[in-house]
Amino acid sequence: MREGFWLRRLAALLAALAALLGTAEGRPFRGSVPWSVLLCQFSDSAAPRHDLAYYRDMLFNSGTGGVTDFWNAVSYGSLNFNGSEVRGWFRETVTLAQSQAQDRNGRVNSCVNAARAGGYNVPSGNHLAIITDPDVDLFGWNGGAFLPWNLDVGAFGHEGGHGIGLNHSFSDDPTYRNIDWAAIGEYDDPWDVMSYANVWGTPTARFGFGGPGLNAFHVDRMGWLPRGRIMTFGADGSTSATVTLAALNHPEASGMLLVRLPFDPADPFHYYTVEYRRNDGWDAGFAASIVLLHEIKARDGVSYSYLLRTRGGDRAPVQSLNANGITVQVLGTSGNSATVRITSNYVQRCLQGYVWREAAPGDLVCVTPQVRQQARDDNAQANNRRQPGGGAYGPDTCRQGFVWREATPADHVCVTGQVRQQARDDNARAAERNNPARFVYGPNTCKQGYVWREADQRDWVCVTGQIRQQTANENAQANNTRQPGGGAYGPDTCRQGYVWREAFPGDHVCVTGQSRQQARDDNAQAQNRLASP
Amino acid sequence: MFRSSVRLAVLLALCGVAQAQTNTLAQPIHLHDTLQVVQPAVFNLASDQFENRIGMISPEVMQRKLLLLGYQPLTPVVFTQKMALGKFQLTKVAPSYLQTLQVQKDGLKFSIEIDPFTGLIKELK
Repeated sequence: MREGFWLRRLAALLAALAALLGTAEGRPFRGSVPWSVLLCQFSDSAAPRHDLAYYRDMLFNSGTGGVTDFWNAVSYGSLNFNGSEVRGWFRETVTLAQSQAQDRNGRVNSCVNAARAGGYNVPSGNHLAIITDPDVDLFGWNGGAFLPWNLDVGAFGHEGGHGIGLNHSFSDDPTYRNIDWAAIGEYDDPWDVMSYANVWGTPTARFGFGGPGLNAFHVDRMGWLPRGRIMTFGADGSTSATVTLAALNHPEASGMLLVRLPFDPADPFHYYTVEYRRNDGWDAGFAASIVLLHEIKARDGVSYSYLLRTRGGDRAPVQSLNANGITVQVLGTSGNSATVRITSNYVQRCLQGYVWREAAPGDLVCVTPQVRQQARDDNAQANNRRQPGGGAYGPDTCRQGFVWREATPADHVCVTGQVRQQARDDNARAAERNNPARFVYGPNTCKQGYVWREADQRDWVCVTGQIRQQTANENAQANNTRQPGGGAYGPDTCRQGYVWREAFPGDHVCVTGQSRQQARDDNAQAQNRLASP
Repeated sequence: MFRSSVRLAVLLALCGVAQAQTNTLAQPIHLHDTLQVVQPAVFNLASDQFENRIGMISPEVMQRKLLLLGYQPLTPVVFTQKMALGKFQLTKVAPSYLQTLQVQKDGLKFSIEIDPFTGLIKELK
């Protein structure tokens, strides 16, 4: 009986540990993605063409022009591969021909088993990449990839993107199909590494082609953009503006890194984006610097980016847009900046559930559909309710029992007193019912009951209001919880009893151990607290 | 005996957690969040869980890639779906998916072999 009790306790403990290890996947994410890369050969293979040092430099060492440098650049330092390792070369028990005859599970298991036999077990929680020489296959799965020996930076950039939860990018061209298993438009955004290998890559010094970077939606989706560099057009009530864009790959330039252009009151995750990319660095493979427009919309409940292309001809990315009440015109690009002219009628649109009253021309007060119908009915009855021949209030004097509606100052349609009061109430509430742009928060929108923690400008993790306040208080007290004059851990050394919060890499605000644990727990729950997958 | 062993293991585990908690208060240490997945001990995933997670390089993109690498194509870059499919049927068919292309580089004319999936190039000199 008691053995059963203890077994249940042990099982619960193990389950909890497994959950801790297994639920950290998600976004927004800033931190480490540990990979185990296994290098495998077959029993009859000749000597491998690259050694471990080559792959360590290519994948995980910084300053080599490889994958780590790529992700460091496109994530603005948010993502690293600390804890990753390259092991091998392991020799499988099967020959090349036997490996080619295996199914994909078999190919993975043959290499993993060879590594085990060689004394290396993939640590629980690590992503797994298998590289074989010679190459036999190329595929991925949730948490891993099987790659050829001569992979380039772009390939691992792409698989690394999947590893952190990014999806393929698309275009809006209904005639484009990359390959028979691809969806319409899939892989048709060559300005985004998530369309690899169909991308404008650039040669690296040692590791084949690499890049391009991510499109702005993908950077936003990962939570790597500072909130002050994102504009949700119209959220401040603007209907037109000339906007300066900073190149996404040059955040040191001033200007917006991303503009969201909402247009769909029924779906706050359905909008256009505008970004600027300069053709240097990891984007050096572009023929020219360019402003790109995307439509962001859900597919099977998950948001994807669709590059807006012109139809016919060279299918170039659109440089002007006039759709859904939005206009965009690229005015020019210069160095690290571009300027665009944007107009939007979204400010005047109603929140979901409301419609324009249209009691009179230009009456855009948002009311319920029933009230609009009432206004139409009242308008249709206008002549019958007016006093024939006029009266004390002129030709528009109402019959007994009716009053002017006064939905607008000149609105002399005769209605019941109740309807006039309704019009007054609706007018008083007009501002709170229009401009849905105020409620468009992007891919990291929190579920009801949560708010962004905002430990810094790029902290999009959703927490309770209480934790956000606590975080703000900790930031305000940062100077007081730090050891004066520094200490063993440098100038940011904490006073006794405090530790670095580490809500994100480099977060050296000193807090209690309990608060650090809270930050970790909140980070682990980040994905679960998002309003949109 | 078994019961004692299990109890000891649990207690050790709990003590370990408690010890770790205590240590965190002593001094700051570098611990970052990590994005992790749990890999199965033995892979036995359904075939639809393996994904061909890259797209086929388009002739237009390949053309630019060749130019960036200093190759001047002397014959058109043409990829077909059949070529791409061949990439994933290596066990059944010869690697006919590779395209051979005449190019010129540094004044020399020779052939290259292109993998239409990855865009990887092999010089056939």
